[in-house]
Amino acid sequence: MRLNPTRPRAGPRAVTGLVRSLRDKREHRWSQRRMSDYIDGKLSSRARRRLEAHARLCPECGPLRRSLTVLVWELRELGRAAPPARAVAARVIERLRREAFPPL
Amino acid sequence: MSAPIPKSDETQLVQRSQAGDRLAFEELVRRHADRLYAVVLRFVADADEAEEVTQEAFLRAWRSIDRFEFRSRFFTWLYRIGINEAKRRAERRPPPGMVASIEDAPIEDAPDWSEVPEFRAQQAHLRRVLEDAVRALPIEYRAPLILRDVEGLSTQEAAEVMELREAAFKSRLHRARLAVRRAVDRYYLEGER
Repeated sequence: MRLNPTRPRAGPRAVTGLVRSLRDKREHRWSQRRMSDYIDGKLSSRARRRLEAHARLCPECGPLRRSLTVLVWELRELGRAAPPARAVAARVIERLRREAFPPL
Repeated sequence: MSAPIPKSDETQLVQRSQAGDRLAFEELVRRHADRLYAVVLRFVADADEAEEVTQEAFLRAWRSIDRFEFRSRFFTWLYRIGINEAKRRAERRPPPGMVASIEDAPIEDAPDWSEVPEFRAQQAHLRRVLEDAVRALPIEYRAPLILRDVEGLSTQEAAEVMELREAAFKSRLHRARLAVRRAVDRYYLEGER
């Protein structure tokens, strides 16, 4: 028995649209949760293709994928830039000899 | 006095240090001090403090070397000591402009700056914005980003340094990346006005 018999039934297009919307939301949540693993190359090839397929169409996930890729690359470049040389090891050894090492 | 130590297996150096061989430990210092200093520098206020923390870390490592059980690599253990020392200092003196919380929500209408050639060309600017954004992260989120993305440790190694399970580590890393991305979004949005 229908709850509201006067309300028109949802047509096939509306049902298809709803199903697609729910699937898109599920894909969106799935992709967002795995975005960092994708950037790190940790997804299986199947999962990678699935994320990329969603990112091609999603106005959030597409830019997120691109910007995180750039960010992680730039952060890695930060790490490659050597800090100014300070002869740290020599002073560490000096302090160890003064405070911690037993006399020879 | 010990015989000169060839640059050999690090395990031997650690074992000899555990037996009290200070020359072996000095070799470990020469191998790891610069890298540890570079990591610590990203957690503390300045170069002098970073050097102090590095010295403290090696002092602690020497005093507790007998407790190192070879379950991880020596540098992982050393990084953990160094970062814990840096955290202790940071907790006593938070850096200016620290982000109070890590949110998940993206900025509305954020531009896709990764596709803008002019923005990408301003790499010096972008790097400064990134450095400031990383420095502004709360330390429990800054550490995963620095260890994994800046220093290039594997997820497993970085999670070990932080004494986190991998899933927890990856969750923090992802949120840290999103927070830094938001900082760049804000910077770019302000630049457009």
